[in-house]
Amino acid sequence: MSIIVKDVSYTYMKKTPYEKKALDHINLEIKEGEIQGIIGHTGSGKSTLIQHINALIRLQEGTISIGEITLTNKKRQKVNLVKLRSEVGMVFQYPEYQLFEDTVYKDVAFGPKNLKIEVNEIESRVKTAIELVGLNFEEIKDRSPFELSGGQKRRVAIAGVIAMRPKILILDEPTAGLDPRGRKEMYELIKRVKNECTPTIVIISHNMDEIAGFADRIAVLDKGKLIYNLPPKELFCNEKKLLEMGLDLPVVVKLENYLKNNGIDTKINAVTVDEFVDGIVNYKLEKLHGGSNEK
Amino acid sequence: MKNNVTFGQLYPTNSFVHKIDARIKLLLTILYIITVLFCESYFSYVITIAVVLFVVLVSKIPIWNAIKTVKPVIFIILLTGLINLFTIREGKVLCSWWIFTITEGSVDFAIKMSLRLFLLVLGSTLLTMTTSPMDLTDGIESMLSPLKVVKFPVADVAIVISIALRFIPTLIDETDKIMMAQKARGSSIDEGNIIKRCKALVPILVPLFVSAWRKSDELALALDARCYKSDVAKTKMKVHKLSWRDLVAVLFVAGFTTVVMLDKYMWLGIF
Repeated sequence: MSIIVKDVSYTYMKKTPYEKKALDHINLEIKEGEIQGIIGHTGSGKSTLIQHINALIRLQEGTISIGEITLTNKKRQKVNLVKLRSEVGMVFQYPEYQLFEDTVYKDVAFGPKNLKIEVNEIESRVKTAIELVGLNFEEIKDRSPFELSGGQKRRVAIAGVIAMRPKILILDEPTAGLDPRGRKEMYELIKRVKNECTPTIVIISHNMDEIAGFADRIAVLDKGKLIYNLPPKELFCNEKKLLEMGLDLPVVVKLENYLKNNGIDTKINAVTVDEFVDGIVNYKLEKLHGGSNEK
Repeated sequence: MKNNVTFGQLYPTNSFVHKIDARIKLLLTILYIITVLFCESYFSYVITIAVVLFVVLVSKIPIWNAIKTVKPVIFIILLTGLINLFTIREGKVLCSWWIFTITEGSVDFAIKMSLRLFLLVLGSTLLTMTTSPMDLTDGIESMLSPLKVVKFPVADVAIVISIALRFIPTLIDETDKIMMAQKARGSSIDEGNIIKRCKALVPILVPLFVSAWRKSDELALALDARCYKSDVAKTKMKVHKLSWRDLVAVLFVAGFTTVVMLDKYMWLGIF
């Protein structure tokens, strides 16, 4: 199931002095089975864009197709919103702040319950979801969400969305506020989710290094316009434009560009640290052994 | 919710009306309200409408935006008008059906009552549309300050009001976020019978309250860290002084009140 965004524009608070154009003719396709990254400066329209996809925001202009469902800006649309939201799961920033139930079990079950799934099925989904996010089901299911640590709360919140078994999962800055280890664990969690239940993932991020090593394709938004939608390696060739937009490059891309400008062309074109290190090792070996390629 | 301009929210233009001192505006609004309640003949209603429209014009707020602020109460106004229309028995009967009777008196009364409500709401929202909440709070604090003599906690009241005002947009944003997060999980607060809808409020209210408490906790810590004490005299960043504008405004509204009062008591209505 892919998502096709066609010519979408959106203005907040039209006809008031606080009017703001958040999206400007966005055309984007999110392919099934891919990890799509979305990056952009604060205020570039990322959150507005994703909130259109599960119809949290009413379309003003353009259309969006999610699988067989098409959203338009017509006044009376016959769209089953609950069904749409069960197929397009969304995890907001700081999702731990949406927890409300007495127990972890009940909170994770909230989503499936709204989908009117029968009780036995709910139980198995809740169990699977909680284990998938790396928590111990028996240990945590009866505890109050409010007595958990921040990291645990976030996992519970994500479990609550995964329990709905969406076909597409959208995560808005999943690593916001996490320490380095927390970020690493979050990405491992997302990888698990992709491999085990949700093939298509969309991640909004501010962190270039993380998204570069993870996404199959990265869309760049600036002031409401879609500037690029490219695989990471191609995207980071546009250093100048990205810097102009106030965005950063992955550390290793900056390093390689710096080396190149100072006479050392490493030709690795890495976007992640691991890639770069492997490349350097090979490069060094080449230099040492004059041409042979050994590890 | 983010998309709706809040009822009576400040409409920022640089007009004469905006620059009038908040205390004066507050007092004149009260005077205006009292005057409207004294309006009797159609003549005074026409004068009132003219005055309000004039002020809207001077404040550089588009007329339609100003009138739109009455929308939330339009139902009550119409309902009041209709009830009065069909129940007041005074003067010649114009038409009658079952228990409903329309008389000359009831038409007259219904029109005037509806106009009165409309003008009251419109005039009052002009206050909030031309005065920022902070300026209003400062004005209220300033006017209440004589009460300090009887140990009334004026400064505390002022800071409570200003903190509450400061948090309204934050909490609206928070509510928006929570509503969207729960909607994304399939919750719908716009479907089902009344019990269902109330139940659907729990996933929004609980996180909202938890969030509000957390924020107030953090704010208290921040106030402490900056040595805030409630009973210590403080200086103000914005010092409000009265100016010629305030005098003009007072004279204008006083004139309006005089005309309405004369109309009611001496001229006994022109029409």
